[in-house]
Amino acid sequence: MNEFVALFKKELKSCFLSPIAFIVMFFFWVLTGGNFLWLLMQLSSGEPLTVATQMMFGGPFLTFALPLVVPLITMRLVSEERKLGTYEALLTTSLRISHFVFAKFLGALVFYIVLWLPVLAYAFMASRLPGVSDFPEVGAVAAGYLGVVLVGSLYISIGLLMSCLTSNQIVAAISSLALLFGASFSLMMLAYNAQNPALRIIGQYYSSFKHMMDFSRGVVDSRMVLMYLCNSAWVLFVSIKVVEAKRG
Amino acid sequence: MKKTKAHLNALIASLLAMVVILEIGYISLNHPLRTDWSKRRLYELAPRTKEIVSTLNQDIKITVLFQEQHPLYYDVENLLEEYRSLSPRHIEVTKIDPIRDAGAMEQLKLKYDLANENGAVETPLVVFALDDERESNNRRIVRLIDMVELEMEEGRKQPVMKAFKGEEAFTRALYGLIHGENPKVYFLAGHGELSLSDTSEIGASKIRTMAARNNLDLFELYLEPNSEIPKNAAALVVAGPLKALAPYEVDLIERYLERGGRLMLLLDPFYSTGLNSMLERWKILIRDDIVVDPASNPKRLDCVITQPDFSNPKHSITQTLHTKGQNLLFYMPRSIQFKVTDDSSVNLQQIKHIDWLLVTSEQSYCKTDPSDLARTGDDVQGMQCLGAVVTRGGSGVGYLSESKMVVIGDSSFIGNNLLSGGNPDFFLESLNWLIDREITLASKPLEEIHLALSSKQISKLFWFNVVGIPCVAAVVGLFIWYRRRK
Repeated sequence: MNEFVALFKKELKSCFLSPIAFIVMFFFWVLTGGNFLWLLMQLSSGEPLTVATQMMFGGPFLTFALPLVVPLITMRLVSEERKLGTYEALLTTSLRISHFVFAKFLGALVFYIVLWLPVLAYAFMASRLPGVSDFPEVGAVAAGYLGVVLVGSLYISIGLLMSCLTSNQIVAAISSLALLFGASFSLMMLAYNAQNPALRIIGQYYSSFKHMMDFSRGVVDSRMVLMYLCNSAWVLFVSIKVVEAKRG
Repeated sequence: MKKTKAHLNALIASLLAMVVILEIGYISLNHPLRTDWSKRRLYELAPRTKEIVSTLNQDIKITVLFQEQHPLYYDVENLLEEYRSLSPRHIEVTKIDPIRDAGAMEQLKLKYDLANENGAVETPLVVFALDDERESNNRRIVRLIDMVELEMEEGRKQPVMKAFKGEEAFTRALYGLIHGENPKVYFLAGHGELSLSDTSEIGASKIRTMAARNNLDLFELYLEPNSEIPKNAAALVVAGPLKALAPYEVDLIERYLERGGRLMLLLDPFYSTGLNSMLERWKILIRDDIVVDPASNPKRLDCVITQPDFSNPKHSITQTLHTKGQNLLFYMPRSIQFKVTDDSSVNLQQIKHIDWLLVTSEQSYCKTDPSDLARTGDDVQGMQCLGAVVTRGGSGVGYLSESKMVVIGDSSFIGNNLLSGGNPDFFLESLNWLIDREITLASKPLEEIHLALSSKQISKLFWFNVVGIPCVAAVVGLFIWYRRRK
C-alpha cells in the first residue's frame, strides 16, 4: 500500500510538473471558457431549458476535444519512463505491476479532473446570473461531471495502454488519438444513422457522444456507468498484462 | 520461447477478461436502472408508461417529423430517448426533416397515409407504427396540438406553448397501437339520423372516412328493446334524430352513461328527441329555436359562421380552431342553455364540470318560427351558446364512473356538404376528448431561459473565462519551467 501511495505521489508530481501539462491546460481552458461564453450567448437569445443544460457539458465542441486532449496527457505516462531508462529499473524491483499501472492511471485521472474544474466554476457563475432560476441544476451538473469523469477514465486507460505498448511518445499519442477519435466518431454514426437495429444498439451502448447527451441533462443510467467502469478496468488489466509480458 | 509464452499468456488473459466484461455488459442491458438526478426530472417516465413500454413484444417504429429548429425538437427527442432506452430491442426512433428530406417525406406520406384533405402533410408530427410491412395502415399520428398545452397570452395573436404533454400523447399512441383496434364509435340509427352509409349531400359518409384516417371506426347502431349499448363502444353519437327516442332507448343511454359512457348529441331544433329530461339532469337545457347571427354571416341568415374568437380558448376541443384559425359553419342551429341551480341537487347529479364551447355574437337573436328569420322585437336577443361539454362522476365526485357529454345544437355540420373549414376537426376533436379515458399523465411546463447580458458583462466574462483562467495555467507553467531551469 505504501509503495502505491509513493508511486502515486511521484506520478502526480511528474504529471503536473511537465511542460506539456500546462500547455494542455492552457488550451483546454481556452476551449471550455469559449464554450461557456458561447453557451451564454445562446442563452441570451433564448434557449429552452433542456437544451441549455445539455450544452454545459455536451456539445460537439467538448466531446470531440476529449479524444484529442487525453492522448496528450497519457502519451508520456509509460513511454517517457522507457525512454529515460527508469522503466527497467522500476520493474526489477519488487514492485507490483498492478500498482505501477494503477498509479499512472490515477495520476492522469487526477490531472484530468483538474482540467475540468473550471467548468464547475462556470456552472456556479451561471447560477448567479440574473434572469435565470435554478440553472444549472446541481443534479444535472453532478451527473454531467460524473459522465465526464467516466468517459475520461475510459479514454485515459486506452491512452495508457497505447503508452505501455511503445517507447515512443509520439507513436503513443498518435495511435491513441486515432483509436479514440475514430471510435467515438464511428460509434456516433452507428448510434444515430445505422439502418441495422443491432448495429444501432451497439453504437448507442458504446458511443460517448450519446452518453454525454444523457449525463449532461441529469440522466444516470446504470448500463452506461457499468460500461465505463468495466471497460476501463479491462483495458487497465490488459495494460498490466502487457507490462508483465514485456518484463518477463 | 519464454517471451512468446509470456505474450500468449497476456493475450489469453486479456481475451478471458474481455468475455467477462461482455457478459457483465449483456446482463446490465437487460436490467437497466435509469435515474434522473436533475430536480426537474423533465423526461422521467411515469409508472404507467414504464409499464406499457416494458411489456412490449412487438417492434415499434417511431418516426419524428420535426425540423431541428422547432422549439419542441429536443423535448421530443429526449422524451423518445427515454422510451427507447426502456425497450431498445423493440423501439426504433427515426428522425426526418420534413423540409430537407423531401424524398423520404413523400415515401412516408404514402406509407402511413399522412396527407389530409388537400394532399398536404401538417408537420410537425410523430408517427407511431408497428414495424411490420403488412401492417402499414396501423399507425397512430401524434400531432403538435396533442403534445402541447396552449394558452392565449395578452397581446399575442398566436397561442403560446405553456406545457409539454408529450408523454401522455406518446403513451396513448403506443397503447392504441398495441391494442390494435381503433376505438369504436357508434352512430345511433333508426330515428332518421344522419347515416354513415349515405353518400348524398346530407349523408355522413365523408366524416366516416375522415374518422378512419384518425384511427376512429364509426358504426351504425340500432337499439333493440332488450339489447344494450355494446360494451366496446368508446362513444355514442346521436346525430340529428328526426323522431323522438323511445323511453327504453333513453334508458339504455342513461345506463350506458352511468357505467362511464361517452355521448355526443347533435340535436337540430324543432324535432323532439325525448332526451330533454335526461339533459336537464346534466344541467343542459335545449330550446326549440333557431339562432340567427347576422354579424357572423350577413349573406345567409340560416347559417351561422363561428370564428375562432367565439370558441372557448381553454378547452382542448376548440384549441385547434384557434391555432389553425378555422371557422365553423352551422345550419340553423338551436341554442344551448345551462340550467342554473343553487340547491344541493348539483352534488346529487355529480356534475364535475360544465363548460361552453361555442357562442355567437351580441347581435344574435333566436327565432321560434323557421319560416321567417328576420329580427323582430319578440325574439330573445343577445349572445347564445351553440355547444357545451359536461363531465360527470369520476374520482373525487361520487360513486359514478366518469362520463362525458358533448351537446351541439346542430347536426348538419358533419353532413357531406358542410364538411369544410373547421367542421371535421371540431367533430373529431370532440370525439377525441370524449374517449380519452385510459391515459392521463402529467404535463411538464416549458421553460425558456433568457439572459440579458450587456456587452460590458460579455467582455468581462470573456476576459475572465477565455483569457484569465488559461493564463493562470500559463503563469504556473512558466513558473515551474523557470524553476526547473534553475
